[in-house]
Amino acid sequence: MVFDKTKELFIEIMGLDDDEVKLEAQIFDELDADSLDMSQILLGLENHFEIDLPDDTSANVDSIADLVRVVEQSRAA
Amino acid sequence: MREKIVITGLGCITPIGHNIESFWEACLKGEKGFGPITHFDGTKVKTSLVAEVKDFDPTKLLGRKLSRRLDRFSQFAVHAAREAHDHADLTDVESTRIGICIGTGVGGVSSFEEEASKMETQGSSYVNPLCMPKWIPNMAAGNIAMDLKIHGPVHTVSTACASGIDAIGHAILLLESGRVDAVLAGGAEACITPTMIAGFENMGALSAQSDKNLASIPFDERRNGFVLGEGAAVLVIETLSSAQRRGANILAEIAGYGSSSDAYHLTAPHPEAEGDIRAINMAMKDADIEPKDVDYINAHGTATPQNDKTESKCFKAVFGQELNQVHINSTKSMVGHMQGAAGALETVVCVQTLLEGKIHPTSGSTQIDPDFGLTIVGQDFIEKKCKYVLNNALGFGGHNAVLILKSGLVADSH
Repeated sequence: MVFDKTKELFIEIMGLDDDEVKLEAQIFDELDADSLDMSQILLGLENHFEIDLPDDTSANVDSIADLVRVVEQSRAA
Repeated sequence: MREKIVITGLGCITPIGHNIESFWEACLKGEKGFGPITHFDGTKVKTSLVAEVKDFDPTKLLGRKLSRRLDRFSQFAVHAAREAHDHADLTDVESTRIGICIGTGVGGVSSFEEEASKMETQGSSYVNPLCMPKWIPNMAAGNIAMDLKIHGPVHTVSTACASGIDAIGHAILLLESGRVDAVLAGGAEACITPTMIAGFENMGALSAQSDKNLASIPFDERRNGFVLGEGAAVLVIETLSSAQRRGANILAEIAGYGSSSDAYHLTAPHPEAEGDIRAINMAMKDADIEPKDVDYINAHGTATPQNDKTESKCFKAVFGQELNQVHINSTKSMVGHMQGAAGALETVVCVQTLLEGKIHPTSGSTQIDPDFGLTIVGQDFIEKKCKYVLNNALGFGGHNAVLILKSGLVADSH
């Protein structure tokens, strides 16, 4: 569920194709996200799941899987 | 002696054509690019006709990601700038010696309105982080720089409806200062939004006509206001020495620029056109010409009762008896009022007029107000070889801006 929403946001905001957004994809090195992309994606996740992600989330994730994990931890907290 | 400034490239996107060729062809046919509102629910406003740019796909221009990051006015600017840059074949000018100066009235106002609405209805956490870089008015110029990798001075001019001409004027000053060799100068606007239309409506400036042939009919005794338009126009202007060094195709010379303020009223022009008269005289002095030398005027011609009356007074005061020899039209009769882009597009029209010896019609203006005493080009284009042409613009805030272009440099420079 978290991955599906994350994938949807990456596709919408970064104009990526469906098969590019995989769990192992590297957000910055591979998908070429920048700070503006991340601010939109994190805001989209926060609003959708009604959570507050840590301020340093961007600095602490490399892959989509990392981001999904941080979102799940926030939901569980 | 001051260095001559020339025009070497043109680009545009308008309600009647997405490039110079299609725009000019539609101009000569007198096509009126007006239709119902499609950008939003048109029942929100009383106005029934706008001049939208049709069939524009920003993802084709910029890709999916980048097109989301640019407001429509920036997308238009990039589109027009690419055409002008290619037309001038500017790749052989060093990128730090190229500047950009783009005029806009309101910048990315549609992005701002969208986010302001989210702020009200959903709350602050729903406001898009892209809100700021999309709507701030300098982003048309900034995005052109990023798109074309231009590293010289990149500026924005905002003098309401005079922005397009004043942006070119500012570019002239940059060129004359020696800081740059070429400038991409023009204007961009995309402000067909509910709030903009409501504001203009409540001011009584917009045409309430639903018949497009009776809307935006400048200098006609039945004139009833303007039709809000959108689009962009960009010109490459450069020093004559730069153009000659690289063997560029010189389209026209910019002979003079005039700029003044009425310092009179928020929106109304000075009743005796005092400021506009000074701006035209300043431009003629700059060009070292007299009223008898001007062959054609592209008027501001908004089709509001007040503008056309005051502008005609201005022309009578400046040109006197010589006015009989001057043909006048208004491009706004076809593309509506493109606000901060209008003056730039009308400068493009002036260049085309010089190059082709054709003056486009004032579409729909079939009953010219006889009190004006103006020679308005009617429903068919006319052929006239022009040497000097004048472009006039006025803006809310009392801004007056005038350019005079000259033909003949093609012959002179070879």
